[in-house]
Amino acid sequence: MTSEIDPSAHEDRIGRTETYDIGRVTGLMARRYARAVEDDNPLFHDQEYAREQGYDDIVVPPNFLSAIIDHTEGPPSDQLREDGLDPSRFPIELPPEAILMGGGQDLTIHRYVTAGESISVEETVTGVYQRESERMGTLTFIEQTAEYYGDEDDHVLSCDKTMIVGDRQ
Amino acid sequence: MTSIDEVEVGDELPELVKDPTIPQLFRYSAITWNPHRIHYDAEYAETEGHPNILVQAHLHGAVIQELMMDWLGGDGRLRELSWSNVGRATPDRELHVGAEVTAVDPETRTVEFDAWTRTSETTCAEGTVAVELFE
Repeated sequence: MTSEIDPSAHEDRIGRTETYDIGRVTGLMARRYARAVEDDNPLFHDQEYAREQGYDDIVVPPNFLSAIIDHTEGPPSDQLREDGLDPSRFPIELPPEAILMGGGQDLTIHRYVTAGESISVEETVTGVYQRESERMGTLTFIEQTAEYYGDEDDHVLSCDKTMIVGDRQ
Repeated sequence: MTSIDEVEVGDELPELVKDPTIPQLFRYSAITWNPHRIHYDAEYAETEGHPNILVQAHLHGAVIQELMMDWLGGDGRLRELSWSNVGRATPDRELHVGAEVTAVDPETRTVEFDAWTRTSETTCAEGTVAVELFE
């Protein structure tokens, strides 16, 4: 049960920062993301057009970086949770039967990343707390902030995000 | 050319209508390396209380981004994009994406919007956007 999660037991996680690399974001990755959205913006597909607009190469759709669920290859599939997610990707231990929901993101886009850049990330847990929901019972909220840096170690994107953990109804 | 002089509080952008499909959701999960079964296994999704597989939370943000960047064209850039997922969307049902101007600052050339995604049944995402228009 999600209500068995004790936020106070995870206070030592608050403020802890993990640093990792997404690696080089290729033009193909950017175009595939745009295709998956069915977004035909020429900034994402047409190198010549993007250069006419003053960019070095095609633009990486700004919310692609923060939409990546796992920057690693992940574990073998027999080590995934029943819901398919990697148990090691959560900043706190979750009950196996808990269900997870994306709560949203707040993005500040300092500049557009273009194809070919290598991206590194600093991700920090900023809060773990619970609220009661009429429909869902006790919900646990895990808040994180992620700072993304580009080729010149410059700050390209900030993302505050919320993950919501609940019980099956 | 989108000019800041022509933008007023209360203006609504032309609605973007998306028609998410199962192959589209598969591709979105693949490129974001998202193994969550609620996005590709309808039988499993039902065990979590969902009527079908679900449109990914981040895809709601992505279609708001699409609406805004289509409107901007080459005349500006996206500075802030925030959204909260407040309802569910499933494939093969239209997803309506909209935005309304809430503030215009000619000095910083910034325009702010409320933005949303909706199905015929519910609001799925609510958010805000800030864009900068170039001179």
